[in-house]
Amino acid sequence: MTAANSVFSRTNRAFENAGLSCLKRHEIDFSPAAQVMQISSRLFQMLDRSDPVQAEVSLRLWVLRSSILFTLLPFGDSALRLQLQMNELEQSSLGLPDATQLIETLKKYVTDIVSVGRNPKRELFLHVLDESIEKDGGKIGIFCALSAGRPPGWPSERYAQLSALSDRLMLIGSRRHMRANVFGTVILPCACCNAPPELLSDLLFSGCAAKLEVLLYKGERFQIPKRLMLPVDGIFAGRLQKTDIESEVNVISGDSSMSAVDTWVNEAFWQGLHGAERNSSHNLVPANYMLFCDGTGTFLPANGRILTLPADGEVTDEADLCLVRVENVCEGDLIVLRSGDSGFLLDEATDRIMSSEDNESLFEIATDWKEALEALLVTHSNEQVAQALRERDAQTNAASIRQWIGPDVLGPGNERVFKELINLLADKGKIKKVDGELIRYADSRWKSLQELRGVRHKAGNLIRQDLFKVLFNRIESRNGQLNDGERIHVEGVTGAELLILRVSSVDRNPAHVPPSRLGQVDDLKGNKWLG
Amino acid sequence: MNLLPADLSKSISILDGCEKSSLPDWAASLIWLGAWCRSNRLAGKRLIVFAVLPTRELAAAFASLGCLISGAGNFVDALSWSTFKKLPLGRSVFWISKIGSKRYSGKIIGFKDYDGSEFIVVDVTKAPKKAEVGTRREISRNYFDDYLFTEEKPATAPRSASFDAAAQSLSYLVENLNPKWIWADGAEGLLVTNVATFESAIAGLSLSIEGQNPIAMSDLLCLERNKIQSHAKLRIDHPKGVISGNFPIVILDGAKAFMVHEHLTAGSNMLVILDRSEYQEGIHDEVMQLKSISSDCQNADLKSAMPGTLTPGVELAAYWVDE
Repeated sequence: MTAANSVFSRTNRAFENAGLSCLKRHEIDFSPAAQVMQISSRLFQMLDRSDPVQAEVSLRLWVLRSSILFTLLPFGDSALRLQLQMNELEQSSLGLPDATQLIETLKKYVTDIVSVGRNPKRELFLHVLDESIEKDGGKIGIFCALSAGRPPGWPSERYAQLSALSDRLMLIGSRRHMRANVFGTVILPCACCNAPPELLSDLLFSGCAAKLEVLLYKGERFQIPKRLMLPVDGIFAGRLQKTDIESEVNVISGDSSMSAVDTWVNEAFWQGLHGAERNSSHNLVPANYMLFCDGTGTFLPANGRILTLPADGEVTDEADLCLVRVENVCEGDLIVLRSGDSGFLLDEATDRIMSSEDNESLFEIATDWKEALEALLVTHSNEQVAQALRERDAQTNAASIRQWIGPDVLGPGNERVFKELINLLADKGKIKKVDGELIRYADSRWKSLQELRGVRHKAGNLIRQDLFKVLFNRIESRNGQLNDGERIHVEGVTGAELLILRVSSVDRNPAHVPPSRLGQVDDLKGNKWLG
Repeated sequence: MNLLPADLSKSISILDGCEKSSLPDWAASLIWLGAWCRSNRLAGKRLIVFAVLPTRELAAAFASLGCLISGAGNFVDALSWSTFKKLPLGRSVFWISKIGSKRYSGKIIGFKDYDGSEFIVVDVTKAPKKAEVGTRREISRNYFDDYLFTEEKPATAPRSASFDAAAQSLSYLVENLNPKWIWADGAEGLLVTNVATFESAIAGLSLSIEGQNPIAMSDLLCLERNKIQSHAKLRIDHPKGVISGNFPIVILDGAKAFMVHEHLTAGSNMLVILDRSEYQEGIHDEVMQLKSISSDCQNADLKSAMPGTLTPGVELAAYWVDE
């Protein structure tokens, strides 16, 4: 590692940038784009998005408008499909006579934009790029995580063309790109209203760049997101220095209907992919939806963990396989899932160990008390059972009771709580044992539970070893890296098929889904929200 | 009161790979912060400090260095015999005979009094000669100092050299550094962090103090894992499982490390280091709760030792709470 990109040098520059960071808004006076924004705004106000047809029109309109506002390609570039998008929008809005006139006017401006071909934002971008190349020697980033999924106006087949403009240019699509680099300049191609908020905050507040250049058409509104800060205390008050970027106040008044549309589209995008409940209810578990680069997606439990590989796909030793919290999974991460239900992998490995140790019935023995608990829950609520246990000085809550009954949690982790639970079940007549026999039963089940936990721990290690062996063979045989959507068959060991998937976007807002949806991979190819 | 030499940036240079530079302001601020958190003690109170930074890479390393400098400066030599008498029976201890430098370890069996002369009774568990293992020894208080007893396993020869080098470097920053400090039992702090990431971040980083030979950051911090009983001046642990031990200060590096705060000894001061993306609602709510129960007290000496302004980008809040 050279000192120029060492941790120390990166940290040094991050602190320098945090102190001096300068954000510049470039406003481009380009009437056709401003007209597209105005007409879209009026159309959005008119459309009832609770009606599926009008929601479809809203989506097409948003994609068309965003393609024009987000893109740094010439408007005539065939990959943008602007004219085609306009025609499709026109077709889909045929049943909306009130919108006809506005659609006609919009078509005129889109046709103008396409026929002129030149994109003033691209020209400004090239100018800013040239200036940055001349003035500072640092890396130049282009923020391209402009929306969840594939951002309109950024066809993937043109990424290489943009990167080829300078060897110092880097497209920033994930947190990892930001954390591993410090930039001289970062260019934001639009108002970033649909960008994942945590990514935008990282970009603005983590000393990622010395200069931030925001390219806007007149009428586009870029807002610096609000950052949560430590409260003022009586000790350091007056000794801290605010950094420039925070003192900037946005005074440009914007169009509220546009921000409503952006809010709508941000939620509608995820609803269009997974369609899950946002509110909790009985039998639903909180989960985050991950959209992968290969056009698939899945729910992962919000409080769970997932196996990840290094984002660059280079696996050198077993330590490269990390279990990370689902909440910490970032765009660009490579995660490992079992095809079907990821939980089964652990069960299979557990079974293997138990049979090799001649202890095949361990699971049944260790968890046979669950039937008694299930029987008690027919007449008692989770909260009543939890309350009864608390009265016996066994601290627990209703959520734990619900988990113990399910397959994901083996049982109480605390011996005292477990034994009080068994006593309670006996007192309520659900376990037909008393005195010494009951004590021996509770003792033996606790011992079995602990033994089973040990086996599960071993199983976890076994899976890691198997997986590592297979991955390493795969990488060696290819002399290269892992692809974004690899399927790996773990031969002769578990017979399992593993998926290695690169995260494209994460729905940070948890949804509530039945446990059966966790880890189930949805094929989203052809989904209208993915373009 | 001066916590640190007046101009740290001039005293310390950084060697990052082959590139040399003076200590940057942000690193000096973090060294100061570590020293300030370590020094600030009030009876019956603990100090909890939050630092929110643009990035927390290396922040814990420099704060730890500050904590060592402060600990070294405040060191008061303690009576080993009385300290030893307080140890629980069965506790593993280590000793080296001054003559011949033979290394032993054993378990304390008890203390005996023969006509007013006190003896420590130990069962030998490791010794240079096999025949000595399993024997019971009674060592008189009069000869106690000849045996260099410690609770921590004495450093190996190469480690001893690196401790000596660290002590020598620190002696340029700590006025009248007591030479016994580096070998005295007990660490100045516990750092809870992702150990692999931390170690990889400080690899290749060396500090030269007052123009002396550079010393690797990893050596200067005199680090050892918390679960290993070897001698160390700073201990490091992962943010998971049981975190044991008493330390004047615990540095929680990152949001994950912050989650273990409830399981730490109540007496320790605490420095929580977060980057800006980690400072979210959950932690903010806990800070607000802390603020509501904090008391308004201040160590006047240490208030005068605070810099007028801190480096831009460094955001701090500190609260005194009852132990």
